[in-house]
Amino acid sequence: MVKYTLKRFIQAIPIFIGITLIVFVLSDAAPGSPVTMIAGQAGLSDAQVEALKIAYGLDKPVLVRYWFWLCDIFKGNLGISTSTGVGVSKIIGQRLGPSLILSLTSLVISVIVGVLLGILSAYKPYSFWDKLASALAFFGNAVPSFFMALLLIYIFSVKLKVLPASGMYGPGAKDLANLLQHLLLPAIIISLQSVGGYIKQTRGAMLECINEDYIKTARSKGIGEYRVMIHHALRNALIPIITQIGLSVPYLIGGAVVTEQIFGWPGIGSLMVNAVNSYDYNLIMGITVLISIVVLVSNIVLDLVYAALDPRISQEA
Amino acid sequence: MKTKKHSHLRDFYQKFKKHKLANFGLFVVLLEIVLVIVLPMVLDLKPYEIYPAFDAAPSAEHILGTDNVGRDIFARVIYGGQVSLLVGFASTIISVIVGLPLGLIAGYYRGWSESVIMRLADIFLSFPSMILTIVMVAIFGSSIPVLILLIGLLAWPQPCRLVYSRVLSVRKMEYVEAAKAEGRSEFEIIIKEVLPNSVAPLWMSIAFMVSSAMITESALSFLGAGVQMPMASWGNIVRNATNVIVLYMYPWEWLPAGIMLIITVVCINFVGEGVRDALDPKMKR
Repeated sequence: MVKYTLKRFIQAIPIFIGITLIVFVLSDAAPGSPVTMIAGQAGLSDAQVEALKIAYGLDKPVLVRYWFWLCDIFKGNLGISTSTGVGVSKIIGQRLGPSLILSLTSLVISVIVGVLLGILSAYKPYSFWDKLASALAFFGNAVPSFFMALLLIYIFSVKLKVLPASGMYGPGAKDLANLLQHLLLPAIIISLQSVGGYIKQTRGAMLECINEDYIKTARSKGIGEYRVMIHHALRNALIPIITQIGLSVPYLIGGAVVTEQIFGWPGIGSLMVNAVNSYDYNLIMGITVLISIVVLVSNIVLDLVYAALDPRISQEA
Repeated sequence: MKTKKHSHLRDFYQKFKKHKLANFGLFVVLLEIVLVIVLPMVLDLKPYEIYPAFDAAPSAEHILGTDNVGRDIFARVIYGGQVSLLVGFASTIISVIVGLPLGLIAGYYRGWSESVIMRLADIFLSFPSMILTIVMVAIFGSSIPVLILLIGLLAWPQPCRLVYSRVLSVRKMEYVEAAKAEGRSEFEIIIKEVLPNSVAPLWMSIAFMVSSAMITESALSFLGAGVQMPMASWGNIVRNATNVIVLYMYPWEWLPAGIMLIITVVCINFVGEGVRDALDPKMKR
């Protein structure tokens, strides 16, 4: 098991280098570097611009600069955000909390609602609950999140005036009740998008096994229907549900760009939009590093969970 | 072989015909495509013209009213429909052009090409694509050809994976073995034997790929990172509603484009479900 874990980590290194190298080279190709921005503001001469470029190390080839940048990363130095002058890791640190609050809340809502509806619709296929669940999955998938957000803001913030339309806290308030009020709408929007996946996975996996012999055996032993569904059939749905959660983990950090932007939520997604709009490459790279680490680590954890659930996997590899 | 293929097609048609929602969806989408092409030819639509009355409610002159600078909303919704539909279909074609051959190669040759291609697909699938697209748009600009290319290129892993997983079983089939024994070239085997027998999963998902490309485009345009003003797309028409006054007071400025987008996506998905049910051997209808 230790060997398997180690192997997966070593395999992740080239992928990390690949992702960051791609974004680094791409940002380098983009118009508008920090130096030209400073030069434009300060009215520097060409010679001064050249001196500045040498001072920043920008005269070196892109691969050399990537190497320096990579060495800095391993020392824990993400650089300074050029648009704000504050350290990149500090800015990301401030945004990470709100991102996690929003995304974990949505994850919990969508897993609970999705699995419950999945169980209900597998228990009685083509019943009212089954139809409700598939309608929810279908429309959650088809209605773009920005439009859903506008509709909900229109209804709950503008017409009914019961929920705030923007931000994480109201002016002067920092209490939990206030946070929950601000959290409700964006969390519902994000969970609506992913709830369909959980419904489908749960329903599919449970229906698959409901005619299997071990379920019939359990029933014939006189075990209650509730126990059969939860302890025997739901167990079969566990791996697909975990897969679905695992796949959503990268999106927990920064995946909610549109929703964060509409609701003015101070998360990583809206930070990335700001970074892109202000050509802040250190910040773009910093967020890319964060997301790729989360992606890679969650992939590894997912593999390890599979290996723990099914010992054949780690022996094969 | 010819007759067999023909009967497959007829079989598909028979099954698809029975799926009422899918037929309804297909009708609506085709009608939309015809309308966004024909209406600009027949009617005198001026999506960029600025009329004196801005934020005007629907009237005989402007049947859907005008927007915040005085442009005719109806004209913009029609022209925006051209853009949104074009981006949806064209970027899906791009993603298939890139993903399909990679899936064939990875599945047929296995080995190192498989590890490289499928690992890359994993990375693309697990990295939040919206963020990647925003970065790319900032770098390469957001003209419509660039948007089509970017949305299409970033979606390549899906067709790749769908084809790849089918090729894994097709390559072991007897007809592939037979073709090898006949001494036919690898390229010929892949194109003539493996490809036709591996595309069914792709057909089952292609409609959903189109609708998700349309959603991506509209979300980008809504954020201001996609189709740029004064050009119209359904997403950037809705963008006006980020202004609370527009959202509250002038619903005609954003509701029609949003509703058209939802109708289109829903109908394309209906078609997708019809195709999936008609191709899926597990469905007995």
